[in-house]
Amino acid sequence: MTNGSSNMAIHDEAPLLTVEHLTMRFGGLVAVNDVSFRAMNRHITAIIGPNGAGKTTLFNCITGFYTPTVGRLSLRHQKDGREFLLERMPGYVISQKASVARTFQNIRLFGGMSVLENLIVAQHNKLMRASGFSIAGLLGLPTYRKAEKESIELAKYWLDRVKLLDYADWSAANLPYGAQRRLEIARAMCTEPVLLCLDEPAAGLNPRESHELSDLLTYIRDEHRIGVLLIEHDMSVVMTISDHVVVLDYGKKIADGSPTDVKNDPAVIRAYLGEEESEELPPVIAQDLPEAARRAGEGV
Amino acid sequence: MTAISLSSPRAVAWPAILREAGMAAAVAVLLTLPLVGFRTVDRPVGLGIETRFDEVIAAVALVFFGRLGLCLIREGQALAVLVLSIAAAVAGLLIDLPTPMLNVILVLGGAIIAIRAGISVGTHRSKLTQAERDRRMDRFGAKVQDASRFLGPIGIALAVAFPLLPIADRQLLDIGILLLTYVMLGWGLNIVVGLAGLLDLGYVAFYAIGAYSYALLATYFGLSFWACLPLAGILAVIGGVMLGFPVLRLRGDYFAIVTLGFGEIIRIILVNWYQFTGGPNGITGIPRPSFFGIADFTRTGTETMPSFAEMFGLEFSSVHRIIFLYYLILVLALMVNLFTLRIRKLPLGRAWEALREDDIACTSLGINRTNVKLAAFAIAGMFGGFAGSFFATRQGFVSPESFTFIESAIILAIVVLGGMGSQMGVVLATFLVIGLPEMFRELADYRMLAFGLGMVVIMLWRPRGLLAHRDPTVLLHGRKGSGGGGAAAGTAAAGGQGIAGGRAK
Repeated sequence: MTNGSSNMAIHDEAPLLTVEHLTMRFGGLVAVNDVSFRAMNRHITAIIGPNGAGKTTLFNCITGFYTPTVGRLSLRHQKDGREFLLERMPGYVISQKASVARTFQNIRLFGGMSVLENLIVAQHNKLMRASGFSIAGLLGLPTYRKAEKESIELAKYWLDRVKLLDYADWSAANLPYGAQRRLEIARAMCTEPVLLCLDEPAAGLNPRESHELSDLLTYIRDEHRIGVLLIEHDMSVVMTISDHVVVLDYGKKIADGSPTDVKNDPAVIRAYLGEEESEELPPVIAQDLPEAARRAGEGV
Repeated sequence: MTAISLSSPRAVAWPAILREAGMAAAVAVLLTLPLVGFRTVDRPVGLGIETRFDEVIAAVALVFFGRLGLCLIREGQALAVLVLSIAAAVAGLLIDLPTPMLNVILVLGGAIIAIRAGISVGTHRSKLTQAERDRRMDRFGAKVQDASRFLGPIGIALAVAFPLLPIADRQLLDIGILLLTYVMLGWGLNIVVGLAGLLDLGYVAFYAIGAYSYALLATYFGLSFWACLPLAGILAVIGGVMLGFPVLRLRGDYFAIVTLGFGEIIRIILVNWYQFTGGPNGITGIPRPSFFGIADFTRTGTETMPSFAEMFGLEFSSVHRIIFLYYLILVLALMVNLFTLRIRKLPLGRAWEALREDDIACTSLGINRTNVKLAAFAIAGMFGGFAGSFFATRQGFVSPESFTFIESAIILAIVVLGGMGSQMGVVLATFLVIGLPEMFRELADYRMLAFGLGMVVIMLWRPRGLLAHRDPTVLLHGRKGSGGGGAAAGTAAAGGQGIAGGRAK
C-alpha cells in the first residue's frame, strides 16, 4: 500500500508544496523552528509529533492563518504549473486562488445551517461569480440557477462519499460527532482543492470510523489526484495510509521519510519515549530495545 | 386529576414558604418605599412631600400573597391557589382600591397565578424544564414558519386593504405608517444583525443620513422626492462603507461599541454643523412627496402639477396624501422583505449566515470576510437611508432629536425580540414594541412601564426571541421526506449562540 502509489504515473509525483526554512515565533517562543519538507502531489503526507510540537502552528502558516516569521512556502499547481507563495497571501486567498482547503482540530461547521448548506457555502466563490455578484441571482437569471444545480450535484456526490446523503437536510450541529468530522472533510473537498490539510481528522473516532476515514482519504488521494497533508495522533491511521511522514518535536523536524523508516528512527523513538531511559538502560532490557522500538512505533 | 392533587398527603413546609414570601415582600418594600411611598408635589409655598404608605402596604401585601401562591403551587396545593387567585382577580375587578393601578395589578397578578395554577393542575407539574421549554418553543417556531407561507400573503393582503376599510381613520393610518417604518427598519437591520451576526448599535445613523440627504437636497437644490430617494440610498451606502472599512476587522463587543460611536458621531455632526444642517433647530419646510411627479396632494395643485383630487376626479381630502404615504412605505418595506428572502438563497446571503455561525471556517473556505461584511453593512445602510428619506418627507421636518441612541436600541430590540433572522418575528415584535405603546397612549406614564414589562416577559419566556426558528434555504429531500420533526430543520438558536460566541472571542 505504502509503495503502491509511488510507483504510479511519474508526473503526478512532482512536489506540490515545498516548505523551506519555515520559522514561526510568538514573542520569545519558537513554535516552528527552521522546518523544511516537501509534500508530493497524490501523496498523503503525515505530520506527527508529541503534543506541543508545532504541528498545528505549521498548518496555520500553510493555510494563511499565521504569517510565518521566516521561510518560504511555495505551492505548484500540477495542471498549469502556476506557482503560489503562500506566506505572502492572506487566509482567504490561499483557499480561493491557491486551492488549499483545511479542516480544524476542533470542528468548525456552520452549526445552525443544514448539512447541504454547509457544502454549498464551500462553493461560495464559484457561485458568487455565477450569480453576477448577486445581481443576476436577484433577478433570477438562468445562469445562476444552473450553477446552483451543479453545486448541489457536487454536494450530493460528496455527501454520498461520506455517507451523509440521508442527513442532507439536518442542521449540522445535530449530527453525531463522527459525522461532523466527515462533513468537515466533505466541505473542504467541495472547494475543489489541490491540497487538503486535515488537522487530526481521526480524533475522537472509534476504530471502525477511523478505518472508514482511512478509506476515504486513500480514495481522495487516488481518485481525485490531490495531495493530502495530515496531522494525526492515531498511528494506526498514519502508518497504514501515509506515503510520507514528517516528525516534529519542539518545533524542529527530527525525521522525514517513509512510515517504515520513521518508525525505526531512533530520534523518533526518543521523542516519543523520552531519552533518559535509553542511556541508563540495564543490559537485559537493552537487548529488547528493537522490540521496544517496534512497539513504540505502533502503539503511541 | 383533582382527586390526586387533593389526596396527596405531602405536608406543606409552612416556615420555609413563609420565609420565601417574606423575603419577596422585603424586596418589594425596598423597591416601593422610595418609588411609590414618597411623591413631591407643588405647594403654593414651595415643593412639598406627600406620602402614599397605604399604596406601599397594598403593593407589598400583593407581592407577599403572590409569592405565597407560587410557593403553594410548587408544594402541590395548586387547586386551592387556583380558586383563591381567581377570587383575587375578581375582587380586583369589583372592589375599589386606593388607586386604579393597584386594581390592574391585582387583576393581572391574580390571572397570571391562576394560569400557573391551572397548568399545574392540568399537568401535575409547576414548571417545565429548560430543555422542554426550548423544544416546545422550537416546535412552535417551526409551526409559525410553516404557517408564514400563508400568513405572509394574508398579512400583505390585509396591509394593502387596510386604508380602504371604513375603520381606517387618519389616526389609525398614521399608526400604520409608523409601524411600517419600524418594520422596514427592523427588516433592514435584520440583514446585519440577524443574518450576518454583526451587532450594530448605530443603525439610526443610516436613517439620519437618509433623512438629512433628502431634507438638504430638497431645500438647497429643490430636488424632488423621487430623485432624492435613490440618492439618499447611495449616500447611506457611502456612509456604511466609510464606517465599515476601518471597523469590520473588529469583533463582537468592540464592533458594537464602534457602531454605537458612529451613530453618535452622525448625530453630533448634525447638531453642531449649524450653518449647513440648521443644528438643533433642524430643517423645516421639507417638500411633501408628489404623486410620482405627475400630481400634487394640495387642494389646488401647483403651477407645474395638477392636484391629485382633480386629476382623478375625486373630492379633495387631506387623507389622500396619508394613504399615499402609507402605500409608499408599504412598498418600500416589502421591497426590503423581498430582497432578504431572495438574498438568503443566494451565495451572498448564505455567506452572511455562515459568517454568523463561524467566521474562521469562512476564511478557510475562501470567503473574503471583509467584502461579505461590507456588503451586509452597505445594503442594510441603503435600506436605512430609504426609510430615512421617507421619514423626512412624511414629517416635513427633521431634527437631530429624532436620531438618538434610543431609536437604534428600539430597532435592535425589535430584531432581537422577534427572533434574530426571522422576518415574521420582526413584524410581530414591531406590533408589540411600537404598536402596543401607541394603542395605550391613554395609560400615559404607565405606557413605558408596560413596554419594559413586555420586554422582561419575552426575555423570560422566549429568550431567543418570539420566532427563533430557521428554515434551510435549500432542501435535498424536500419538505416531507426530511425524516421526522426534530431533525428536519435547524434552530436559529445556533445563530444566537454564534453571536454570543463571537462576543466571547
